[in-house]
Amino acid sequence: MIELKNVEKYFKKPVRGKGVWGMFKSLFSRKYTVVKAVDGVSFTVHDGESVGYIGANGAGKSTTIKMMSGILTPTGGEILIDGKHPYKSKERNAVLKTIGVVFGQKTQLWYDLPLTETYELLRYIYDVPDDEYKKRLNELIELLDMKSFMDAPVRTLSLGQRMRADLAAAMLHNPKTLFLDEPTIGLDVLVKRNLVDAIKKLKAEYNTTLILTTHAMSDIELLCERVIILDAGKVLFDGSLEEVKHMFGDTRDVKVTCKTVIDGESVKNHFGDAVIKHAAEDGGHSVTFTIDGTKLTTGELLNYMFANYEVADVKISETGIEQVVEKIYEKDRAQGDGTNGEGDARE
Amino acid sequence: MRGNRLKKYLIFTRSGFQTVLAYRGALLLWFIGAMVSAVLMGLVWWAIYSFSPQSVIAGYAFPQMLMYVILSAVVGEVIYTDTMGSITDDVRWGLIGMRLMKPINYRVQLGFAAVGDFLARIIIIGIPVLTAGTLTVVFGFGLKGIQWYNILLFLPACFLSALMFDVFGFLFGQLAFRTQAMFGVASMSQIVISFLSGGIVPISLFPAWAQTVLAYTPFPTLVSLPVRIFLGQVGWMEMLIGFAISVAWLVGLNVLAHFAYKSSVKHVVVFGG
Repeated sequence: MIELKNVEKYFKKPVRGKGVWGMFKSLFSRKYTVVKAVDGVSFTVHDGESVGYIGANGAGKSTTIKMMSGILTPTGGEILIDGKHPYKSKERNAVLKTIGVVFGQKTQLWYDLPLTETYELLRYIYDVPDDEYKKRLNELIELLDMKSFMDAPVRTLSLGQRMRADLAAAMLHNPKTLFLDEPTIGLDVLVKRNLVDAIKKLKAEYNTTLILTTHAMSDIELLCERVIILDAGKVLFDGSLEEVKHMFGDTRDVKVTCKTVIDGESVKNHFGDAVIKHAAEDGGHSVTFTIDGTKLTTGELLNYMFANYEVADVKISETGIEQVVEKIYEKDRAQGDGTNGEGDARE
Repeated sequence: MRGNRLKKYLIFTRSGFQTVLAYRGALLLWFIGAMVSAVLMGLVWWAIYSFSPQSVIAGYAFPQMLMYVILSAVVGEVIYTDTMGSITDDVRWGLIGMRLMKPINYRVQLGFAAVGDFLARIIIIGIPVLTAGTLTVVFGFGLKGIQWYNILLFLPACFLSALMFDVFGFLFGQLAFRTQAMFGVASMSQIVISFLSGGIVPISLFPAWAQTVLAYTPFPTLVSLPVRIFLGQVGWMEMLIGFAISVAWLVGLNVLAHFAYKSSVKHVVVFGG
């Protein structure tokens, strides 16, 4: 179980002056601002849960992960992983043995060594018993399809290969918790899908607790049941994936294209407020209706359209988590008082 | 459990060894580098000896000086373990966070990797160049007085130097946490350390006051001591004292580096990612 209790992380950032003179002055000045990267975050993740930890760039996601994995010490609050503090030097190694980490932008593999050697190294670092090591490595090689590049030095691997290799490296010691920080960044669609499938299988097999940060909402939709949204160091939302989707109503867009011109207004009048809005394109030949899924089904709308128009084409899109998150950010920015975590300048 | 822990780190010695083998081109360049440096310095000294009225300069006759030049080139190549380079790379590529996330001590890991680095260099570059060099100077230039036990003692002396260089690397490598200009730091420290430790000219050529000052620093133990042991210029007592001084410096510098590291590491992970 992972518990975060009112966790804070503040960084001191020196104030740099503008221009040559300003920069020169800042060589001697001791002024700094306090950046509240993480500002009072609390949540609990139970064993076997999979949580999407999302937020805009600079929201404090990676800082939280770094604190949970013991390389940063919180300024305030407490983090407990199975009752131990990852950032206290006496408890650190015990915690680190139970977690695995994949950072999409960085690798934990040794650059000049062949993969087999890197895994051998990790086996010793994590004290994995011999038979268990062999069994799991073979499983991972199979699952992630790594056989063809096991003897290649890491520096020669492609990004897709490297990500798979990194995932295997993080899973080798069968961690209770797996932190995935943008694991699919830069991958093509196919590789991405394979990687996500592999993560899903691994999770199902070992009941690994999963904490995933990403900007690819499709990953969240495929992997997570729960979502925590972070903005400017604070938790904005914590709930199930379904809840997020319905936070702004269960809406969907239906685009209808006809040979004749569609009278959008009359369609809206027919259904009342079940049709939230309609937008015409192509001189009225094409209209996108945004409907409230709780009041009107797509079928009912289409039946009406088929009955009254000569429909040529139909396109339906459900509001994904992506749009919801976008809306949440927008709403928060609009409400926010302009602070983005920056504190006062102090002497 | 203790044995297991040692094994955990020894695997880094192996990987340090393997990392040296990973770049055939670099190995060849080091090899050529050591040869070229020995030949050039040999020519310089040849010119000096032929124009000098004395046949012995600073206690060295020409064959001895030639051997000194070869030895210091070899020592220079084998003890320059890549601890500083490892830290610089880890910091610059943002891998330091990943390294610190392992249930293992980063400093100890680097130290053990440096040992592997040293072993690979001494086996692949050191022994062949040294064998060829010694045979050339003994049979071609009539060098006398090389004893087998001095050759053997040269190896542990080099090992201590490699450890010393590793701790220098760890200490100065931490600057990577605070500056981008690591290329400057690396080449600067390499030249200064090489000069002060007798890697360019024998310390006995330095003015007396400089020799006295240097005796209180760890530098002479780095190149000068192993080279002079090989040449048979160091008596048993002096050798023991030399080794003791090396070990004392090693302990002291490692303690210093440990505390410096504790403060440096706070700087590290602040930057993005």
